Amino acid sequence: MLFQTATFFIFFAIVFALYWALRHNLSWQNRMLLVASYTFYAWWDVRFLILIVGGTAFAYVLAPAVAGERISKRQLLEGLALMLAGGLISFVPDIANNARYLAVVALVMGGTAALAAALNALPDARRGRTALTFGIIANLVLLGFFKYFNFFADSFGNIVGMFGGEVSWTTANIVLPIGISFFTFQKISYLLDVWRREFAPSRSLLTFASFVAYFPQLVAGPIERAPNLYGQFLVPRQITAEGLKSGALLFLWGMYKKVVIADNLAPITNDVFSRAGTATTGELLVGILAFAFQIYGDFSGYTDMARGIARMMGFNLMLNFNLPYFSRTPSEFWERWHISLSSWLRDYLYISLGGNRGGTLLTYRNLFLTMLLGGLWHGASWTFVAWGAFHGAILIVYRLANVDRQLMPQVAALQATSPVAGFAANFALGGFMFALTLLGWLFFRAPDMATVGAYLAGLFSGFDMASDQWGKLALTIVPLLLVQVWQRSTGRLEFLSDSPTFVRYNLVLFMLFSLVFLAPKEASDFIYFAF
Amino acid sequence: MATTLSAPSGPQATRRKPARPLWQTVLLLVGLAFYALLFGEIFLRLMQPQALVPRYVTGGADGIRANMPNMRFRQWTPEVDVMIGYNEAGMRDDRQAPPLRKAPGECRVALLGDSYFVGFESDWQPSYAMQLEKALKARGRDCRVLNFAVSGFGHAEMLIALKSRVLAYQPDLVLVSMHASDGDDNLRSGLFALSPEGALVRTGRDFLPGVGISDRLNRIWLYRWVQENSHLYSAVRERAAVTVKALLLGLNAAATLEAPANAAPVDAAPDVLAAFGSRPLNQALIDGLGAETRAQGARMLLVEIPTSSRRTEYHQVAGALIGDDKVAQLPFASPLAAFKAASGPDVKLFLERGHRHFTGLGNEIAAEVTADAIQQQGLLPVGNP
Repeated sequence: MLFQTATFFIFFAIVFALYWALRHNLSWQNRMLLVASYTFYAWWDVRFLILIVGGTAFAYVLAPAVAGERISKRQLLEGLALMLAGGLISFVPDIANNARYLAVVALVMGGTAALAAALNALPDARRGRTALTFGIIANLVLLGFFKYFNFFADSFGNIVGMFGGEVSWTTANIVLPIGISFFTFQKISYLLDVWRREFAPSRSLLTFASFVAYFPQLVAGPIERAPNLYGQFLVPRQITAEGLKSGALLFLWGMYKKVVIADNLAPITNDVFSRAGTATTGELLVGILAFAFQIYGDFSGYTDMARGIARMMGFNLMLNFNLPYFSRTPSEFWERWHISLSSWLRDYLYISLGGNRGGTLLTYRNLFLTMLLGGLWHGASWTFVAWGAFHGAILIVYRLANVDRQLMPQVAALQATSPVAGFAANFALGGFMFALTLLGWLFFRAPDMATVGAYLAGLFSGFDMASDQWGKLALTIVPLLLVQVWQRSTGRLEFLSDSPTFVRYNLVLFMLFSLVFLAPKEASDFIYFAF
Repeated sequence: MATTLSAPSGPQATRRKPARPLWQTVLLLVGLAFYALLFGEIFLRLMQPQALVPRYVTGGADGIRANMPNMRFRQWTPEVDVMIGYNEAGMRDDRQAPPLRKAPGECRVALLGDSYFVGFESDWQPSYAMQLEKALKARGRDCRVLNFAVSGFGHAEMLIALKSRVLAYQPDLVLVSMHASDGDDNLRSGLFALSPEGALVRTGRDFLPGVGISDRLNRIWLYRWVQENSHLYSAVRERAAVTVKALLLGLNAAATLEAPANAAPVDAAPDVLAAFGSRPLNQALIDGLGAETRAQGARMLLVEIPTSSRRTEYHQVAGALIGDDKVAQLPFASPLAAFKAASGPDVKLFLERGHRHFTGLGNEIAAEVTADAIQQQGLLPVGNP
């Protein structure tokens, strides 16, 4: 169920009407939200609902132990009951083909009960770390199985093949459940927050399940953390005229970015990357520029739609993009691009690896490893690993050159004394960083490393800048650039809500007419759904 | 500061601004709506110029659509700017219609088809009908081509028009177009269906989609001006037409108890797959057209309008509509091979930024192929000039 489709509009109209009707009863409102969220997810494939439901129940049962407490019988039974319900809903509709999966659910239920008993039997001092280890491993095993099994199996086979060997087993036919990377990271961060005593373990299954499955952010983020979102399920949300208006405007802007910008640029990108070896330099340049704005429009558009929907219901989801293409350094880029993931990687991976506490070399190692794993998070492919490595490398180079610590303060000082010179310095830094970002997107978008090689060879092989897509590219991205320059110069990200009524009316008309008349015929999936 | 939707009470209520008078609210809304329309018009002209292709069809006495007699109007697209004219009999012709009874030795060729045969997006001289007249003359056959085509016609309407409009003019030859949309059009109109025994039976008295409304609107000069000049109107109208057509197809396809799709031919363009209607119904309608024509001592020739997905790709439709075996049994002409032979990245046979009708070159090639087929198959009586 894509946000920009009629199906979702009908779904949301029904959900919002019920949500409004239940505004005086928080508990029933949360129940309704939970059912709506599970329906939203099951719309793709009801069988995968068990992954969210089971994972939720497992984290709910385990969290008190992570906090060093004993797992209560009530909490265990509630969790097992949710697992059972999830299994029945996921597999009973096609029981003939799925009976074996119900057996797996029963096995997991038994394993959870046994684990709870074992954890309760441990001394308090050892219980927390043991529970956390089990919790993280279980989540990563699940993610690894669905997302990376084939990748590592293929790679292993290739390595064995290089030495003349052969592996007889083949890769399994595993379907990637939508949004698995997002909700898995959300549950891991919950357990880590509980372990670090930054968040108390949930005692309400309904609230916890509603938090994990909240549908606007379920399949492509922002990767919400318990300290921000969980508490919003505990208090009555205010549905306000202001929230409805600004939420709707944010949704509209997100939909414009997705449907008008990203979906119109997708054919250009697909065409150029499919013939990277024969395209002219101009076509290759158009292709990579188109992808840069396609992925930005696609992902930030999704995020804005998610945040807009949530805001209409009185929720506040975190900011996920903050004008990333205005970044002047790699570290600034990661403070502006997919903020919920980059801050997740910083807080739970980089810091867990030691952060910058172990000296210069260890800091670089931690930076590089964090970005490498961040790249792999995006997909099971060596191109994503290379993308992560590339960003890790440029982070290290910029750090070695002391750009953030020494050069940036100097640029800020220059800006204060001479705005023109300061602007020129910022523009040069930003331009160079954008060029590096484009280079990174090449790894990200290319289907394989051979295409990366062909693309790079073509890009630097001549000066034939001819392409019949320059006009379409410019027409598609210029409105976005104008808006972003406005956002940057005024510091108002919510430019629609903050602009004068007449300007807002014109912008809304522009977006609505663009959505109706400039949108491709077919709605396309969000790129990040595949992650 | 956010305000709740619930009605304020107590002191808050007394601080509210005085309500705007109703007339001001209405005026504001009307003004905003008018501004939005103006904005949309300018937006489309700048960002996505639309094809302005008015049809000017009305209801005929025979219960199907007919071109509005004596109507002259402009069609504009980013590629063409042409005038379309119907004579007093509703034929696409800048000349008067001939008398019903033809003179001894006079040769007449009638066209039955949709907008391709009407010559939409083309001036009269380069249209298919006039190109055919020229091509026949170049082959020594001085025939008047009578253009009875109406935009949107399928074979069901052609069969009715043949009996009620065409045969009275005593044509020697009737050319029937075969276009990819005909199959769907045949189902959509609900005019004919097959009986359980396979016989063609009339099931609908008339098929005049939207004609009542457009007749009333076309009496208003401002509406006529808008449909010939407004990009916003054209965009909305085309989208509405697609929706209405899909609804009518669903409704009437179910009524005929026929599966709406046939297996597509191997080389059919992907965008026309499953758009061929019901093959048995298509076959029965073509048989009906042939039988009616023969009964009046005339001949019939099927003329295929190929589809094109790009300048170097052309696809057949006749086999998909009525089956290759059926095509082989009937007098048939197709410019497909000639189009493929002439094709190239710089050769435009179909218009590309409007409603994708033939270009002048496309019309010329199609007419030459048709004239060749008429001559080779001996479809005009010996003794005609």
